[in-house]
Amino acid sequence: MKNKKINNLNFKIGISIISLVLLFIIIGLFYTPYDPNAMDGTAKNMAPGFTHLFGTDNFGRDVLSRVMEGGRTTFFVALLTVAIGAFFGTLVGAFTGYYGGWLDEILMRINDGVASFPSILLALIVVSLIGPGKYNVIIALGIIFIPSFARVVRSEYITLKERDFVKNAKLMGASDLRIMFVHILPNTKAILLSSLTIGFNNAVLAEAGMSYLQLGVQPPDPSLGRMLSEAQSYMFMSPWCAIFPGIMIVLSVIGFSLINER
Amino acid sequence: MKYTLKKVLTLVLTLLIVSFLTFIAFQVVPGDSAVTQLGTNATEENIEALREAMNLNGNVLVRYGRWLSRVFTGDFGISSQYKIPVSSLILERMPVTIWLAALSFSFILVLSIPFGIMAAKKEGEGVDRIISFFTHTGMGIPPFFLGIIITLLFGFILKWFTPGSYIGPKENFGLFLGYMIYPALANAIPKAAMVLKFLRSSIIRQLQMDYVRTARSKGNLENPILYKHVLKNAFIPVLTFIGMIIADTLAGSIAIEQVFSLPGLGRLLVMAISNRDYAVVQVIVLYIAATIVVINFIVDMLYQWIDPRVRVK
Repeated sequence: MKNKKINNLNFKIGISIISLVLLFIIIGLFYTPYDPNAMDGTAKNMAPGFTHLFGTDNFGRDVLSRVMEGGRTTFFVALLTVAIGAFFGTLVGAFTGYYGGWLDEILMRINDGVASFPSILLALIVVSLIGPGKYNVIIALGIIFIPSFARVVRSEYITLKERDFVKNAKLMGASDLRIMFVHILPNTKAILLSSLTIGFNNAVLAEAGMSYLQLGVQPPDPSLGRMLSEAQSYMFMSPWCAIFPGIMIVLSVIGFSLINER
Repeated sequence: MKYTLKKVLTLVLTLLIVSFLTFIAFQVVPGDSAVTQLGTNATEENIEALREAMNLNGNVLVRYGRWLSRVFTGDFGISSQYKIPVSSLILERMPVTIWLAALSFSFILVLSIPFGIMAAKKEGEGVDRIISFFTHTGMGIPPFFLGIIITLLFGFILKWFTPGSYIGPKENFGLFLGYMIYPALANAIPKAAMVLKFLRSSIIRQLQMDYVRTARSKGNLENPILYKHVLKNAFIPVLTFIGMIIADTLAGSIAIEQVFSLPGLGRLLVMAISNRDYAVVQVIVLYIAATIVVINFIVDMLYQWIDPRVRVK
């Protein structure tokens, strides 16, 4: 009983944090206080204050506007990554879990192999082959996220396909495809949803890490990871340039992981 | 014995597959790298000689065989950005990464095990709530951002170390370790939080088992039950998780080395990727991949040692 209450609280805190972060990004879609890429020679390295809430960076760019834009880029990359991973992962997981057999064996061995490698390393390999940039990062991370979804979906299909409602549908003459995607898929909703939030978090972290290494999103697109790496060289003078984008990443990751606790 | 033999065979096979994939991945690079390197004015003979040296002749399998036999003799080719053998580049930078990983791993264990046990013991109480707050925060911070905060806090504000003043282990080992503590902490804290959370829930699950109730009903005290019976069982799932964490620690050092400007393999990898120095990228990827495969093998071996049920299966 007590535990349930705590988890509920976690959920509420998580939702509040995520709403805040999303609000921030959505406002950024329509309005930023300054042009995120506009340089102002008269306002370099200004501390946070009333004219620039989050201060300005080495080039006099407004950090608040850049965090809003950068957060949007990060979320955009993470969303598409998870979408690619979830779509193909679900397809692979559904077919292998439902049919089994040698194809399943081979695919799962490959899956296990890929899953044991840290995603950032794999993403770096792909990026070293196809080059950096926003869309290449999405492709690289998207491919790498397929196995984790496939594994989860597959194990759900293996248990669900033995259930009575599936046998019933079979007796009624439903085709395999119909059983797989109309009858079984909705039942994997809960587990798929939690994999989506975990995946989203991993994608945010991976994108930030790659952009930090300057191998991810390229300028002029602002990204939170890139801002951190640029801020590092003059951090003693203007630490706020590193702190605000960092906090943005931390808040969104913590928010989603709290929601997932439920 | 049969189990061990099977695992050793799998290990060899996996290493072969991993090396083949690493080799194949970098064969799809477009363009003729020999021509790229020498420029369009090079003579036909020069290009041919370099093609031979860079192992660009023959079909894929032949080239793979040649590459693998070179790898075994420690000949990894020449780095295109530094113009020196890749093996000496790697050997020079390997100790830094190994030390970073070893220190990070020690921090992970020291931070996660005691606090994990404490949190599980006091489940739902104040201590547990405080620890859980820190684990959530710890898991949400990307290691490189934590590195930046540590640099800011301990480097610029408290002045416990001078950021960027890295000293090699051969020059002054004490100062080297003193500097490495900070990157290792940055690398370790997020992972320690994950291990802690995993260990806590594993212990809590064990505490609800029947054998614990039996032990309690026989009048055993809580602590002996925990340390003699529960922990041993609770560590079994944690072991696999720790195997994954070691792999993560290795990968995490790529960004951490960048934050603290450590001349390690990770930094070399990033430089090599931006300069398209594929010989170097290939070897580092192979090295990290092989390490991960071997670690997983060791975890499997440890598994059968602490969990006899595996041997029977």
